[in-house]
Amino acid sequence: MAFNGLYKDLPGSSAVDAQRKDAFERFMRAGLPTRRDEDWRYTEISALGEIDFRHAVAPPATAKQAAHHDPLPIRAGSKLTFVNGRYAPESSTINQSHRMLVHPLETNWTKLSDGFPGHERVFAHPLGLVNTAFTQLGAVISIPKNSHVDTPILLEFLQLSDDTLAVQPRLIIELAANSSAEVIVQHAGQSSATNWTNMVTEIHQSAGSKLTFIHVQEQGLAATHTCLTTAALKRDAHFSGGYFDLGGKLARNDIEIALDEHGASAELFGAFLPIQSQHADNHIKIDHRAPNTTSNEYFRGIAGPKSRGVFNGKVIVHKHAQKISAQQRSDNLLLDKTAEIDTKPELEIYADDVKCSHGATVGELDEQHLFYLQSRGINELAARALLTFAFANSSLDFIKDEALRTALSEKIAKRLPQHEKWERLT
Amino acid sequence: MATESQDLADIVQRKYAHGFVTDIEQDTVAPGLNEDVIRFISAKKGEPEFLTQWRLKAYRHWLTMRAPDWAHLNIAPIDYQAISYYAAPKNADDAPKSLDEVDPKLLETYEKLGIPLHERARLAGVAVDAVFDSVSVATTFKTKLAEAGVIFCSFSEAVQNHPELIKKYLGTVVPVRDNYFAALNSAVFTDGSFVYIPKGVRCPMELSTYFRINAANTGQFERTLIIADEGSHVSYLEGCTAPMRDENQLHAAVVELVALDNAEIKYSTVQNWYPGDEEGRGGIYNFVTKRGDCRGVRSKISWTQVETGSAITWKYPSCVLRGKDSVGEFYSVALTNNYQQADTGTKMIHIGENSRSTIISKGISAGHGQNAYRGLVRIMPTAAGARNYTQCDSLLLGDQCGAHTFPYIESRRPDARVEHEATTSKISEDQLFYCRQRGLTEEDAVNMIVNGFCKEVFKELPMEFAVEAQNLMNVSLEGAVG
Amino acid sequence: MKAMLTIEDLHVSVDGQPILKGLNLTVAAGEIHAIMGPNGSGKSTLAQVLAGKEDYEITSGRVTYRDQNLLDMLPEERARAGLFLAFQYPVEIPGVNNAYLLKAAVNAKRAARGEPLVDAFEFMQLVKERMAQVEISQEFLHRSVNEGFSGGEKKRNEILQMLMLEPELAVLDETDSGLDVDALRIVAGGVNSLRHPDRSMIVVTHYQRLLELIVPDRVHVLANGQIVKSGDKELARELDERGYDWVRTELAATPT
Ligand SMILES: Nc1ncnc2c1ncn2[C@@H]1O[C@H](COP(=O)(O)OP(=O)(O)OP(=O)(O)O)[C@@H](O)[C@H]1O
Ligand SMILES: [Mg+2]
Repeated sequence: MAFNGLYKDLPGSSAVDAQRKDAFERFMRAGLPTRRDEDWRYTEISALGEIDFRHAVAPPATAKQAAHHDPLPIRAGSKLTFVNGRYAPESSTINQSHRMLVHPLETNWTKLSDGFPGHERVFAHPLGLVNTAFTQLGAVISIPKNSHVDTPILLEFLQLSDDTLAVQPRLIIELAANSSAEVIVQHAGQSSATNWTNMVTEIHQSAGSKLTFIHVQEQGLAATHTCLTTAALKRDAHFSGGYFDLGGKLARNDIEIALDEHGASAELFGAFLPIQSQHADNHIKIDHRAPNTTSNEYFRGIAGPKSRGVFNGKVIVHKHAQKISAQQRSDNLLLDKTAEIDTKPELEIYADDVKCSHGATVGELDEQHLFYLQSRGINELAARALLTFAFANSSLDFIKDEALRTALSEKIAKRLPQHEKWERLT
Repeated sequence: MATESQDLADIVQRKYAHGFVTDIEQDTVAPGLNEDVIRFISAKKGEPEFLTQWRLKAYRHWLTMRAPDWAHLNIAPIDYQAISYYAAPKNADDAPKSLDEVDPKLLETYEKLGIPLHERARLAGVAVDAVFDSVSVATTFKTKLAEAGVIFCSFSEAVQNHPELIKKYLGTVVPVRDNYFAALNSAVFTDGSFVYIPKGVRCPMELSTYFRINAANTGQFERTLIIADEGSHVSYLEGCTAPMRDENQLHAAVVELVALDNAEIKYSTVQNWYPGDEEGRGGIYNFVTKRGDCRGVRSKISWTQVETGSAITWKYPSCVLRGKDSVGEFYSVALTNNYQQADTGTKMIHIGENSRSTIISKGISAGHGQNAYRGLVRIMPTAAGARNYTQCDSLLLGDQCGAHTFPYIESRRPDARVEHEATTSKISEDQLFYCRQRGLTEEDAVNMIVNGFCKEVFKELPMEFAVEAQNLMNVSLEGAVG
Repeated sequence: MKAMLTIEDLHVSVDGQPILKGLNLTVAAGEIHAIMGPNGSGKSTLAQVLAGKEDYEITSGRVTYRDQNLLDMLPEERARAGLFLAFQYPVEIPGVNNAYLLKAAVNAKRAARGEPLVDAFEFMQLVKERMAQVEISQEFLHRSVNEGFSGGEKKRNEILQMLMLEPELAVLDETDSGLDVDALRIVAGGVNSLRHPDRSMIVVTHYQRLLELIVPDRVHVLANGQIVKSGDKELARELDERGYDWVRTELAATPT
């Protein structure tokens, strides 16, 4: 397998080194998942094993290059920029008040003297093992007790190189009791190279903490993007996660949330738009391990020509986790005869005092809505485009940050076919 | 209230009423499976060579397969060499010509089962084909059916009398290689039912089969084939029971349905195989492959099942909707109590234009029961305008059981519409209180509410079965309603 | 006069929050009592506690119903002993036939009293008669309990059940709200038809207009978890004109 070559001279503390070795060995034993694996039924990544990836070795790009893409608004927040798999300090701005909170990994391996927090879920996941073995970049974000960070922290990962790079960022977010923060991760690719980004985000939320986490993926159309988010929530903690998959040839998000203590809650929402021969797969698992925990999932998928969208949401209510509320919605549109949507909302329930439900739809636009717009003088093409946009856009309702919502809404609109048809009208 | 969980437990805890063993002489082959056993079965039944070869082909393929492990089931390993693959009542060689010739002990068995063969058959206008262990013992109303041109007989008879139909249709819906249990069944099946409804005929009565596993250490591998020719219509009922035994017994059946242009098949099952005792000892392993092929335009296949028995149920009655405007339906109630496990659901494969399907599934889990719905709705690129609606509800009675929902939706048609809704909850306290305020005991209130929960499925059953199903579900309103 | 119901110093909490705080009330056989009071004062709580709903914690007090300790009885025992609650929000029960429930309820009560069970024919006679009385179309018999009923239809269905069960003590929780003028007359007619020297009723309402049709013997004001004022039917009229503030001011003026 092509991974052997990657494994040498990696940074980190001795504890990290030991973890890398362990992860590497475990990965080499298990290998990449195949479609015989129920979790990978709809997504094939075994080809990654055939590609000769290189680590980011190129010198960091200049600030000018880094400014290329379409940035997300961060108000007075901080921005950490990573280019071609390396931290680019000259392109980054860290807000004065964030200095003690945000630590780029490349200059802070000492933060991990005990190793990665080592979420067992990361080690149980094949891509988590790959990332642990090879990661070179990323950040540690630690929010102290009772502190409320009211401006966002953005991490942007830019792919500007034409090399076949494997970029493996690691992000660790720790929220101490009753703290709150907003973290945005943006991946933007401007090359047509077959690079691969494989990110792991580990989230640890203490009692009463609140995290808003937004993931925006706009990789180049030849790129593979895989990312694993694990979050463990203590008493009354709240996680709000948004996932927007707009780019990439193949994108796969694994999101695993553990509601470990009484009163913890999570909402997950997002849109995936495989439109131009793309493949996007969202794979979510929520474990209700304690009583009075709640979860809500709301995802919208739109698939265009030769594209495939996948949603797999699994809710597990463990024994003795009573008074649970869990909801899932997966609504999807197919725009073309060569498009495919696969959705699999699952419930696994071992307690009885629960209110769980899921709903899934796959289809086309509502004829009545179309008719209504047409009766108001909008031509059919424009009406279709507008309704398609509105369909995806409704996944943004969960975002409170208005500037961010507007920016994402524009990004969504641009990805959809015929968007100019109705934008002209408004 | 403290007594609540106890009451719930009592309600769902009624002793298996059909657990008796009939003591008659059996003609049984020694346990074990090899090509000789298969040849023995085939020879014993005087089968034509093509069928013997077909069985052997299936067996050889089965040897290369592994038992499926993807279901949400905890199955103890099965020793296929410990099972006897043939058990026929001794006097089966000279098969009875009429009910009078049937072993009176057998008739008594059916009495105990609540199916007094002739009485019930006559009163309800039901023709009954009763399969006892592996062999069909009596079929009533043959003459009346024959007048309408309907063929309804045991599978063995069909092999003798209508080999051309068997050759044409056997294995065309469930190929021998389809899955592990289907391959095993194809190799060793001993009997089952055969139905052919000719063009344009509405079958004049409901057709019915009762299955019962009686002998110890035997597996039951029956095979049912129903063909509804153009414009015909048939309703077929199937019931099953088995005696109480400490060890697990294997039931691996295959049912194939073929509906040609404008034909309709309604297939109803009340499955009450022995579920094992309160500790989960014994009980039937019910691994069944049921599939209907809507080959013709506007053809329709409707499955209704009430699954209350078996230690383990692994069963997905499916529809392949090939025909334009064809319709598939699946209505299911599955109850798991004590240590029962069920992984059941359906597959709706939409191939034809404007094909439509409906899935209504009601799962009830009690005791330590685990109940999973697993369903696939697949819209192929050819299925323009296809529609599916799925509603899948689970009810939990007690905090030791589990309810699981695994729907797979795969769509490759922009103009198709698939809708899936599912809920899981326990019985509403408000509903219970309302009924009790009107004077009903908690037990009756639970029965009534559970029965209401299953109503959408029960109303699909033929009348006599609906009553039996309600009794089986232990939600009889006797005493309360009088 | 013989007491039907006696409530003494009743204290009830929900989730640790006290709702009823020392409520006293005596209803004699043959009497109709009206209970009025601001939203959230505890009227429905009282009604549900009388019927035996489990979510309420009775912290102290006694309730005697026809010489029995009501609080010791299961909800169904209370129902069979003749206590009927017309719910403020009747619940929907999908798949359960309205006629089934009615017949089950009638027979449960008869069986408990050692009376012969009603047969299908007798039942249909009775039910048709009562349905005509509350002007409900017979198709409702075959629908699921309250499922998809309009607000007013649900209330009429409650009255139908009451007429079928002929309770000794009926508690009507805002059975008049959401009713059109005709329905109000029908409901009142139903209630009045049950008037009997051995039968009592507690009518919870916000509106004087119902009490013009069902004339109460006593009117009570429930506020802050207690009966704070009682009077005859004139009290209802006065409340209608002057609102609850008047009671509050008056109370504030009289030291206890
Ligand atoms: N199950 C419950 N959980 C929490 N609070 C409750 C519950 N039941 C009642 N309460 C509270 O108890 C108080 C009394 O409620 P109740 O329904 O008895 O009022 P009411 O007098 O009937 O009001 P209305 O006139 O609006 O019907 C309210 O403040 C209500 O919110
Ligand atoms: Mg009220």
